[in-house]
Parts: sequence; structure tokens; C-alpha cells
Amino acid sequence: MRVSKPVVLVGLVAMAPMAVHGDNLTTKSKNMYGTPGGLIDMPSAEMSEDGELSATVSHFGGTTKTTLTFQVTPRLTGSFRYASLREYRPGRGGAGAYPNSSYYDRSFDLRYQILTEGDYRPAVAVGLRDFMGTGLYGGEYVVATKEIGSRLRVTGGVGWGRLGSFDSFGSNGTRPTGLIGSGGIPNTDRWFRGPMSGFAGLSYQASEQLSFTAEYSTDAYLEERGAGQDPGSNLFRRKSPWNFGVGYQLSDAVNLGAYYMYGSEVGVRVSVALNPRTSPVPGGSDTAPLPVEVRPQFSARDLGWAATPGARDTLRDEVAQGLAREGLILEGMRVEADRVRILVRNIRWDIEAQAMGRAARVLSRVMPDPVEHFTIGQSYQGMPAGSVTMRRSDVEALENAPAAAMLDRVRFGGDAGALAGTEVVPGIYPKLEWNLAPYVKLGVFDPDSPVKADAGLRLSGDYRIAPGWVLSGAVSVKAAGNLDAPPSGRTGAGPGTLPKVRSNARFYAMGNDPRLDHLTVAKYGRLGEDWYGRVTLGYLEPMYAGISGEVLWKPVGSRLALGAEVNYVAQRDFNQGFGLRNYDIATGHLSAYYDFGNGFHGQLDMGRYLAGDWGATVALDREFDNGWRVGAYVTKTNVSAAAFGEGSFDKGIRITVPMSWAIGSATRRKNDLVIQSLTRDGGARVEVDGRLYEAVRDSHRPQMAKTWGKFWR
Amino acid sequence: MKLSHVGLALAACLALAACGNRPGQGNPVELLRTLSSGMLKSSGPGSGGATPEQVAAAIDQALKGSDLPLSIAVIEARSTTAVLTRIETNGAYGTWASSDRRTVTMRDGLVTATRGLGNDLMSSQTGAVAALVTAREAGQAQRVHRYLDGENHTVEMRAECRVTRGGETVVKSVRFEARAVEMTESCDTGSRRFVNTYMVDRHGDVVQSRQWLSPESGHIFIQALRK
Repeated sequence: MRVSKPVVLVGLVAMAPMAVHGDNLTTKSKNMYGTPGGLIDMPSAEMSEDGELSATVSHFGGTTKTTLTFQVTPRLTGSFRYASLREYRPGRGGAGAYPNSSYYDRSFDLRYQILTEGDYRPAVAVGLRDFMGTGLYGGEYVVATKEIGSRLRVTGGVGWGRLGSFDSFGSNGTRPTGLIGSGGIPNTDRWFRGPMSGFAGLSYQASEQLSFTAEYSTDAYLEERGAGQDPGSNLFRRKSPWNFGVGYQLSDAVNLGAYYMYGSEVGVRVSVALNPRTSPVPGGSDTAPLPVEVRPQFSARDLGWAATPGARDTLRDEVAQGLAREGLILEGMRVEADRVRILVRNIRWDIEAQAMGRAARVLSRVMPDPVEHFTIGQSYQGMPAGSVTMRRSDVEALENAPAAAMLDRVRFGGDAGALAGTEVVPGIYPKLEWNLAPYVKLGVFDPDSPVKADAGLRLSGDYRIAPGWVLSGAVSVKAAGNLDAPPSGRTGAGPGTLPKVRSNARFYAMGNDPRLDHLTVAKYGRLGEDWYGRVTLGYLEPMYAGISGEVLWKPVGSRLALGAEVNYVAQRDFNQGFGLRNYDIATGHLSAYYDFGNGFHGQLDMGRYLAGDWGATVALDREFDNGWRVGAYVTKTNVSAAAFGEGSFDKGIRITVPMSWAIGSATRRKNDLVIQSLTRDGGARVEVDGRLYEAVRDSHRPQMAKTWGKFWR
Repeated sequence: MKLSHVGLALAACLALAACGNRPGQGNPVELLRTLSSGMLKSSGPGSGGATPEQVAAAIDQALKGSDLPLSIAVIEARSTTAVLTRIETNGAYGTWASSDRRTVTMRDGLVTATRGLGNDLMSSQTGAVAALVTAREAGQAQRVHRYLDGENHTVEMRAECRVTRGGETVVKSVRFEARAVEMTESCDTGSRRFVNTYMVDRHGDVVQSRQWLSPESGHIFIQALRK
């Protein structure tokens, strides 16, 4: 049952964009829960614009909620929430305020618009609030919203859980209260169970900026107000079910709300939204490429050029210089009478098609007239990945045509043989590249200390010994931080009983001595057409040393890739010197990667994890073609929930922000943000630099075709 | 003594937020520079861009520096002025570049593409409009613009355009005077309207124009300095 759920989810999301696009009834407004909707504490059937990512902070009655919401598809919303309740007494006014004076709670929501709005039909959504774990905010609803005219929206719905705790008109069985496992598992047994109530609300858009709201809330706030209405009250007094509010759209990104709630409290809300699909500078503000140089007519007949002594060396230097100005390093080159093959390492362009276009234009300006065929191969750590082959005549003829015309004419190759015989450019190997820069390392979500971080200075370097051979190291010194702070008093379901493969993180962060982040020697190489390989040996990451081997199968035109990785690692000393601890293990995974082609990408890893547990990781990402990614993953292994500890199994949300999007010009740098449930020892994997899939995929047709318009940019 | 040198180097590194020779790390200072650079630095305290003296000096220098065709261009929305040199031709298309590597590509005097201006016009179909404008004839024609959107997808914009013929006037540039007819092109995409004007001499050459590029860049003013 549990195994099939991710599969169902993958299937559902993969199909979603094919659903009929009616009117999704979108709003820029958010409610107190940070989900799209024009009401206050009650949900509506409204959605955000597709792809929108928003952060909302709201406060009322001693509770502050911080919510991150993503409009996964036009009709599906996902939210992650972090709430702090001041002097909350768990258990409905239990034995005194929470020891640390504030109680922190994390929750996830999902909403799906099952019906879009029609002429007479309202939009209808089904939602789950706080659907796993302790379920402090647990509630389910079916809600309908209809726009009447262009300003007024009317909402009515039925709610369970919290949303059915006041003025209920009926009941659907009894609602269980116990946790499944050690928390962190969907509370399927509670959904749509117990008392149910009818809630309603109105929102009125008075002007572009200003809106007014009123609602009837069916949340009795039994948790916050204590056992009795007055004696147990410890957060606020709920005097009335009516809430009133005003919303204000300050700018395209910022939406504000102020409310009078439950007859006794003032609530405030700030929401900031952005949509990865829109870019501050569409197309980027990079400087212009060199124009194509067109050969004079009939000049291509003299094939004798190559016989000129020294011609090839001069040519290679000119190509290398031309490419260097475009942020491309020439690693290999082979010229024949009418054909040139080059291998380039792209250090500037986050969109590979743009790198290809720049390289093609450089070749058009440098190569002798008879050279008609260009093959441009992309190097990953000195290993040829994908290549693009084109006719020079097409480059000349299609410079001012729509980019799609060029895409029709080029040929993508994944065959290492196409680049066989390319001569290594002198001076490229060996080469040391180094960097000294400050770093910030963010900690995981400790329930009682939301932000933990270390900051310091890191010296890193890559020594490129020969094609495919890279010696890489990094040393860092911490300046300040609190990652080594002892865990708070909160016990939860306990730390679990597995070997401590990740939960010793705190000890690795202790002290200010220099530490070796990694020191590895790696070999990358082709194992045949469609086959790629990597072996990495050394201190792989701060906590593990050993050997890691990987093989990837990825045909150049395929949206599917398969991979295998095997590692034998030993745990490193806490001081991150050269010493090892007394724990070693063999781990490994079989992986399948699939690009659904509709903006979604899935990955399945099955194998053995660091604690010796066996299981699988399912990850699903929504990918935007400018490099943004928003996704989630779940790892379930054969350890019991009790042995795993709080959270029951590993899961998280991950967001990738391309720096090029933020600054408007090309750079390969990106920021990855992972919001993980508590780091535990089950389902943990070793970190290795240089995993193959992303780089290989970026150089292949399905990925490059998405942004081919950048070829001529 | 040695230590202080190391200290100095370290301090310099920190001030720059990073240092090293690793490619693609994107020195933040470099990034900032990229961010702030316009088409040509607009100078002076006002928003009027370069002063006339500065422009004249730049033009003189450019005219002396080479014998390639030259134009002067102003991006109105950003008040930036640049001298453009025609650095390359591809059939009927000519690519004109500013000194800071921004380019405008034109065919028969009509802008068909830009690079490096932000929200660039990636390619276009302007042949039908150009035929009317260079013949100094009124008529109806369609034009197509292609742009990249926020996700780097190509998006097409089609416009129905009406070309009308105005009166004849004298266009004075820094280097020449020409009698030219003012041609006006009024375009409607359905969701947006824009107007281009062209001063066309008796040879059918556009000697001066004001053309709409893109929603972000707005209009560009171009005057030929040397054919």
C-alpha cells in the first residue's frame, strides 16, 4: 500500500498538465495559513498562478506561521509550514506551558482543484491541512468558490478535523488521535473523519490593490484556548466565529493582510511571491555574440589549405582564443580537410544551447573556407559528453532565421567516437584551478532552533592532471556558528537505534580547527556509446572516506537514463583530519531518471543506504527551463519507524535557484536549498562530487531542445 | 613582514568576497559590473545621457578610426547613446555593434534583431514592411517578432501594420544632409500598439528612424552617419 503511493503520485502529477484548463480561479491573495485564497482562516477553492512560489508570515493570538507554498500545477498546491506557538500547552491546556516557552510545529498541506470554474459552476477544491505527523493543524475540506461579477467571490465548504471543531452539523465516524509510527507519516486514518462543519466567506476586490473579506470560521481553537473557554485559555479567547479583514496588494510581489479575528484578536499577514517562469531580464543581458562570418562564394574549393606548414597550430590557437572570449575552454581539437571537431568545457553558460551557438560562430570566423562540418563536443571533467554536429552553410544561412530552423538541421551525438582522435590542446593539462571564498553552511531544521549555521572561509582547488583525471580538495576554517550547539530538550519519538551514520553531525561541527572537506582523485571516462563512468577515491565528504564508482547509461535522444553506483566507505574522524572511525560499509544504488517532458522530472533510487538499510528513494521535481527546480523526495527503507526515530522516514523539499535568473546574465552558479525533515540515520546516502547524470543530461538533445532559442543569443 | 603580505592578500580576497583562478566562479565584482552596465554608460547628473560634446567627440573618433559604415543610436527608455559600427554582413543583413558589445542587426534599414539590450529581439520577419518603406509607398503589411521568455522559450509576436507616407523634409546628421520622406508604420498586435517612423531618401535608404524593439527596451532612434 505504502509502496504504491509515490507511484500514484508520480502518475497523477505527470498527467496533471494534460487536464482540461478551465478557469482556475486564481488569486494573488493568501490566507493566514499561507495558502492561496481570499479568506482569512478558512480555505477557498482559489489557486495561485501556475508555478508561483510564495512565502507568508502571519501572526495572531500568540501564533506565528511561516509558510512556503508552491503552485505545483495549475490545479495542485503544496505548502510547508513552520509554526511557533507562544506558551502553548500541548494536550489542550495540559500541565503548564511548553518548557522552551515556544512550541514549534511543522506541517504540510496539499490542495487540488477538482473542478475549474464554469459559467454557472463554482471552482471546487479538496484539501488536506497538516496531513502528517502530530497534526496540530490537521483538517480536511471540500470547498467551492464562485466569482459573481468581476469583484465578488463567494466561498462555502465542509470541513473536518479543526475545520469541523465548531458548530458541527454531523459526524463521519470517530477521528483517531494517535500517531502512526513515529510521526511523519500521512494520517490517512484521520482524513475526513469525525465531526464536520460548514464554513463560508466572502471576498470583495474593491480596487486593483484593495480587498475586503468576511468569513464564518468553524475552527474552535480547542488546542489554543485550553480545556475550558476561559479558565484554560492560554493563547487567546475565542469570542466569535466571525472574522473580518482587509487585503492590500503592495506590489506585484507583496500582498498584505490585516484582520480582526474571533472577536478578540488582531491578525496580520505578509506574503511575498515570485514566479520562476518570469525572469527579471528575459533572454538575459549578456553581451552580444560575434556575428557569423559568411564565406565568399566558391571559396570552399581549395582543400589544399591543410598542407600549409604550421596552419593547424595557428588555427588551434585562434580557435582557443576566440572560445576563451566566450567563456569556453578548448580542450581538444581535430581538423580534417572539410571537417573540424572540438571538445569544449563550458565555464560560463548555464544554458548549453547558448554555448553551442557561441562556439559555432567562433568557428565560422576562424576556420578555413573548405571546412564545412562542425562538431562541437561538450566536456565534463575532461570526458566528452554530448556533441552537436552542424553544417557551416546552415550556420551562415540561418543566423537570422527562427532558432527552430537550426534545431531541425543539427545532429546530436552521444558517441564518444565522434570526438575520437581529437588532439589534446597543449597547456590545458596539467592545470590547477583554485578558489578562496567565504562559505555559509546551513543546518537542518532543529525543531527548537529553526536557523542553525556556520560561516567561515574555504580554500578549494581542482588539479586537472590529464583528460578525465581530476585531483580535487577543499579545506575550510570556521569563523563562527552554532551547528555544534547541543540538541534541545525536545525528545519526540527518540533518536532511533540505527548506527549513527548521520546523526553525529554536531560533533563534526565542533571546534575551529581547519578541516579537510574533501580530498579526492577522480577519473571520468566513456565506456562506449551511451555509456559514462566515474571512479572517485579519497576523502569523499566531511563524514565519509572511501571509493565510489558509477556507471550511467544515457542515449543522446532519450528522456530515460539508468545508473548504478557502488561505494565502499568508512566514517571519518570528527575532527575531519585524515583519521577514520570504526565504521565501514558498502552501499550502492540502481537509479532510473526520467524526464516526463511536461516540466516534471522523476528519479528512483533503489539500494543499500549508509546504515546498512535497504530501500528506495523517490524524487519528483518540477523543472523550469531557466534552471529553477522545485521538488520533493521520500526515502523509505526497511528500518522500522521506531528504529528510525522521529519522522519515521526521510523526506524533504528541495529548491534550486539559478544565479543567472537572479542577476540577468549567464553564470553556471546556482543555489540549492533543501528543507529536510530531521536528519536521521535511516535512508542516508554518501555525498560524492561529480555524479554524472545532470551534466550528461544537459548536453543531450531533450534538455538542449527545450531552450534551443538561446543558440542564437 | 611576510605575514603582513599574506594578511594583505587575504584581506583583498575577503573584500572581493572571493578570489582564485577557478573559472566560472563569477567574481561578484564582475557580476556587479555586468549588472550595472548599460548599452553605453549614460553620463552626467541628469537623465539626458551623454552630453552633445561627448557624443560629438565619440562620433569624430569613430569616423576617423575606420572606414566602416557608422550610425548613432539612442535607446530612449534608458537614455543611452552609442555609436554603432557595421562590423559584419550576412546577405542583406548587417550587424552593427557598439563598443561595449551590444549589437543591432538591420535589413534595409529595419531592425531585425538585437543582442545584449535585454529582452532582445531574437529574429523577425520585416520584409513586407521594408518593401513598402523603402519604396516610399503606403500600404498594409504584417511583421513578426520573436523573443525569449522567462523560461528561454521562443515566443512569437505578430503585428498588423499600416504604412503611411508623410511629407518630405531635410534630415541633417553630423556628416550629411539629405532630403527624405517620412514614412510612418503603425502596428497592432492585438494587445499592444507601437509606431515606427523612417526617413527615407530618394535611393530608398533609411537615413534616420525611430523603431520599437521590445516591451522592455521600447524605442531605438538610429541615424546614419556614414553609409
